[in-house]
Amino acid sequence: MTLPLKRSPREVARALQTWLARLPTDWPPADPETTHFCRQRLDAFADEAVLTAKLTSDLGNRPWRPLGHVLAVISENDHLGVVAALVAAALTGNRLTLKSRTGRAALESLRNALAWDETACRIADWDSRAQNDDAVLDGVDAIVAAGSASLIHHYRRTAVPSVRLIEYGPQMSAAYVAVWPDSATEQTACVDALVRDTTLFLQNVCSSPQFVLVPDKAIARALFSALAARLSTLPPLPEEIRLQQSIKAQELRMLARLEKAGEADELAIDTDTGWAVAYAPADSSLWMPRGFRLVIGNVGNIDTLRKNFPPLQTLGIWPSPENFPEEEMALHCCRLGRMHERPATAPHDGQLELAQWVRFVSCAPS
Amino acid sequence: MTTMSHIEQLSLIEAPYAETTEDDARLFAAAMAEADHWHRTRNPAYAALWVDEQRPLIPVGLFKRVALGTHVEGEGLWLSSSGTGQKGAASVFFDTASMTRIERGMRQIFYNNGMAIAQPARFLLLSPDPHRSAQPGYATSFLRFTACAPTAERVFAVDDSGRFLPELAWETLRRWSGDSAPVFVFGLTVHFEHLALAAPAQPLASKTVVRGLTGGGWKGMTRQLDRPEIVARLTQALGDSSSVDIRDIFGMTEHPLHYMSCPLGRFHIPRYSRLDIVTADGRSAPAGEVGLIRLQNPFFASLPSHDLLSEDTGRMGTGCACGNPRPWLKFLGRAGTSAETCAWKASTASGAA
Repeated sequence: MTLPLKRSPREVARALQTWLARLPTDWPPADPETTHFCRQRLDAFADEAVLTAKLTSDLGNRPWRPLGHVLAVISENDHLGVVAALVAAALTGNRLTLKSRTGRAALESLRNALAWDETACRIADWDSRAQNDDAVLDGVDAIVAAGSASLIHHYRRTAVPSVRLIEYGPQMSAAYVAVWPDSATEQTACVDALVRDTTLFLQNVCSSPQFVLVPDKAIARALFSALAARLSTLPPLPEEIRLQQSIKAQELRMLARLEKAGEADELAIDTDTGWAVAYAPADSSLWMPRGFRLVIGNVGNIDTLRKNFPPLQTLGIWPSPENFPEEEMALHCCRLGRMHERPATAPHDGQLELAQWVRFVSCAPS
Repeated sequence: MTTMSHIEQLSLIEAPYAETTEDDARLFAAAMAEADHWHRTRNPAYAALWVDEQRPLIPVGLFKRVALGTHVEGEGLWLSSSGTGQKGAASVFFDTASMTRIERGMRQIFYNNGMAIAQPARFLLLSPDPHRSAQPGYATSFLRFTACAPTAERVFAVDDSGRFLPELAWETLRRWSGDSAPVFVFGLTVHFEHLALAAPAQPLASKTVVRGLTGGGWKGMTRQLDRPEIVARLTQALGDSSSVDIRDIFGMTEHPLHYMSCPLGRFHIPRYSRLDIVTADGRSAPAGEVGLIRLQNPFFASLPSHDLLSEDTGRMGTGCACGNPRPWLKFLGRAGTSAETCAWKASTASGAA
């Protein structure tokens, strides 16, 4: 299979290495921890062995051909997902149109490192609300849509049936603190892990835990105190979100006063960073917009979990995911603190399922 | 509410955009204290929100979450918001006495902004007719705004199901462009956008003055044009730019008054109300700094929203090239629309919330 657009794992790995060496150290633009995390992940990804294993794992030995021209519209909250789309296109030999607003210069630089030109990979921005769908979809064979439900609905409506839709809609992830450790060291490690998973990407991606399940009130209280003490040290949320946190905190405190005759101690917020910790009901309309929402419940009670929440994408478990029926609870279970660190070859619903970027072909023997 | 004399006095101010005097400050403080007393003695839920004799600054979302109305005897009208907030539409009961004060204040706001005239005028309402079927509160508000002039003719260019009818709107404007009777166009910003997008290529060369008011909860929900583009397109399509004056309205169902922008797009706050911008840590923001919009006005007897923290962001300042000496608000948008995480959307989409 000789395809002019296709790049081998070795070529892709080298391109990634060259690109990363030239990138400013503050890319992708985010809080320092998130930028550092993304760079570590990209460094790990720029490895021929990792990419070869990915190719083998996803496509096996079956013959395939690329889809043709792929349009990728991916939420730029997910810096890694956007890069993954370029890598997937290169490994599978698909022509790519990538919508990008904030990361355009960096992505063009990666395109150049892959020795692709504008024809092979167009990176552009346009106003989605005013877009001419006929022009945007002209000649497109597949669409990778990763973002809001409205984004996905839009392309479902506008794409003709012959266009393959590769959809990654909004998903929810959670943490589960099964036990509260006795030792102070372990307690710190547990809180560190929860803080890391929650604050990376400022809790804005599908693998970010949106609530913390704890089995009983005692663990909830211990975790609440430990997290409340940390709030002022966390990376500050953007001003607009801090304002929203502030008004929601005020609303919830007043609601608690009205409903519980003065009990308003179930919420702690740091007004400088905007982060909050709260005992949270299952009704997410009563959640703080961001922060640690402690929900009392048992992860073993799958029915309750299913009733109150959509299917979980990732479940980060403390102390470890062993002995839990993982396939029933979430698409991916892991140790708390590693919720954003899926192996590239893991079966999941991330951007890089290469089998979705190709058509498998066959020829019956005579 | 007959005993609320300070509130009545406040509503009787006839020069709403004059500078604040010491008497003004005293009257406003007394009126707010009256409102405090009124609601605290009649509304146990509101009274429970007071801590250490400190008036609660109530976030607007609380009114959508719990029934916080103060019981008022007599007749009135239920109005609902546009429902664009995160918790959907809010319903507020407007008792007759409150409505009288509000209408008094709004009449002065219209008059002092050159939006009230004695000459019979034609009204194109980019909203449905609230008399024909139940409609969001903005439909009633726009209809009430038509009190700014004697009505020569009135056309609703949104049908009962909320569908905007651009052909009807432009056909009406074309029909009215031939003579000199003043024309008013009131509607949601998003409907003004649709009107602008459907504008005829050939300007109407209108012979009359066209005054427009945009507003409603659909701020920030336009899809293709921003506000200056909408105004520019309509100005061009309606004819001579000197005869077209399109202003914006800012208000909330939970707050008694609507505020009208000056020609420079700033909402000057009349003497009936007070404006503050609140930072994330609860401070009053200095002039020019962005924060949440806090509005105070004591006209409502039926809702303890006289000290209200909105979910909208803005900044305030004083001194404006338009010549209005009152403090102004620059509206920036709804706080936190970008705060929605994909998981938040997931919970909403799945109906888990």
